[in-house]
Amino acid sequence: MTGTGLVRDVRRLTSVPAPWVLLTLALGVSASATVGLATLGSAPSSAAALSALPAACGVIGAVTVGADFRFGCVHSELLAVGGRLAYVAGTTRAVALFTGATGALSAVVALLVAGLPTAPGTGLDTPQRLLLAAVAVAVTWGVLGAAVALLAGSQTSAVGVLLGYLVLAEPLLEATSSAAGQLLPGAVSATVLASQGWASVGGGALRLVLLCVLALAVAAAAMFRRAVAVTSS
Amino acid sequence: MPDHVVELTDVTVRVGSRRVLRELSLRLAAGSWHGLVGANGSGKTTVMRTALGLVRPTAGTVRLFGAVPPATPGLVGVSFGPRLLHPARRVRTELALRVAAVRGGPGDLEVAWEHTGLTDRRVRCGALSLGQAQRLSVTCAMVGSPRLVVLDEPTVGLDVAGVDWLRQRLGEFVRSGGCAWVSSHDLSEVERAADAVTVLDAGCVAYAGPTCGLLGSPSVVRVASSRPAALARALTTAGLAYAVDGPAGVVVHGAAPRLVGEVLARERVPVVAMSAERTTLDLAMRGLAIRPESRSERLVEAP
Repeated sequence: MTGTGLVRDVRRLTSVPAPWVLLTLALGVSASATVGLATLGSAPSSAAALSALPAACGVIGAVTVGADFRFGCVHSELLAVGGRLAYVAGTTRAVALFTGATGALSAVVALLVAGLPTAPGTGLDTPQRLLLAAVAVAVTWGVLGAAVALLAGSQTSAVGVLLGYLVLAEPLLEATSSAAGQLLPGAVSATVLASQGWASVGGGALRLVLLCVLALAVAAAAMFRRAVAVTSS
Repeated sequence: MPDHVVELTDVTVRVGSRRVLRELSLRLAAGSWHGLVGANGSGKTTVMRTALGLVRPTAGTVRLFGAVPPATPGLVGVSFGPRLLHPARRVRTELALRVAAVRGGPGDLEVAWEHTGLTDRRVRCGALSLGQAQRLSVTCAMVGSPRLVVLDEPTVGLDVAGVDWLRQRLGEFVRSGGCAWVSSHDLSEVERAADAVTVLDAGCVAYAGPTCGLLGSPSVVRVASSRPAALARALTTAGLAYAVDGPAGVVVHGAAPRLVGEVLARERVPVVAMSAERTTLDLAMRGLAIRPESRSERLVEAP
């Protein structure tokens, strides 16, 4: 993985409007949630301010990688970079970088709008922790979105599966088993965003990293076996 | 250096219970223009995908530049159609990404841009006409210095000038030692340009070899006479196969024009028109032996 390749991968991702639209959406939700809570007289909350981050970053991953399947570009990109695994690695690292930046910007917006960490008992107690938590959550969901797109081989299915999981499946799973909350990505993300100490942020971030590795391994295995189409879907 | 750019040996590809390719063997050499023809569903695109490593064969071996595909980046350029680019991405950016993939420089980008024939530097891929998109797709395939270019139906959407451009580009590419592998339903173009041709029928190779070997020498002679009955009698007496072609004419198959002329002169049959036609690729394909059992199974493209 060379620097040239990384620059190319990031340029490829950012040369279409969709990720920029979703980034703007994430920042808008972060700012408006913060302002909204203040208007209602509630205490600012990092978890509330960054509540759209998992969905926005997950959709960024699903939409950008899914676009390759939708427009039939997978085969040419795969041959350009030298194979399936190089393609998975290249697209995923670009998504991770972009969603990481989205997370960091969302955290900065929350800090600027409400000064979240300075309010006592309302979330992370330092800007650095909020930043780490936001980046960890954003990268995780970006990679998860990319992995779902690689597994599904379809942009529409990937976005549907991702949002369906966040809105329906995970709350149901959590309601079924309280122990599942320790493992499910949405629950772990919420815990990380609301954490107040380095230890809990670090522990949560580690769990998110493991989830990413697992999702990527499954996606890479699926991609390795996949017959690559040369048509748009 | 491997002897062949592409080498498929006894390759079978199954999709579910269906065999899309059947024990297919094929070799493509460098410095040549290979045509790939066959009916819809005969497996043309699947052969190309299998050779590139996009589809894994159920049985048999595939070698691309002597190794298991995919090839090293930059060695192979592909175009499977004009609309397989992100429509929201600018054409210049698309080309720049292709150039970056082969570690080219700004000069390569300008050369590629020239080949697209476009003038608006901000135009997006989705705003191009079919012909412009086809030209861009072929240009993307030929960015850098590939040694194998795989093109699927590259003439679709191209106007006369576009076809000339494609012919010229591929001609230069082949003369420089590259291997052009072109699948097409435009049989006249394949007939005109290809050094070698592979005819697929129901996932099997019906013919593979030099294009001239398939076309052979002129073998269809059309004759019209003011005495059609005498014409038919003379041909029958000489043992020549023919088919009635209108009220006064016949089409003679499998005989040289000279022989037909000598027979008719000997029998004093008046001739009002006579022409010899070369076998076209279309006719040659229709005449190839088709395995009866291969027709019993409906073929589908691999997903």
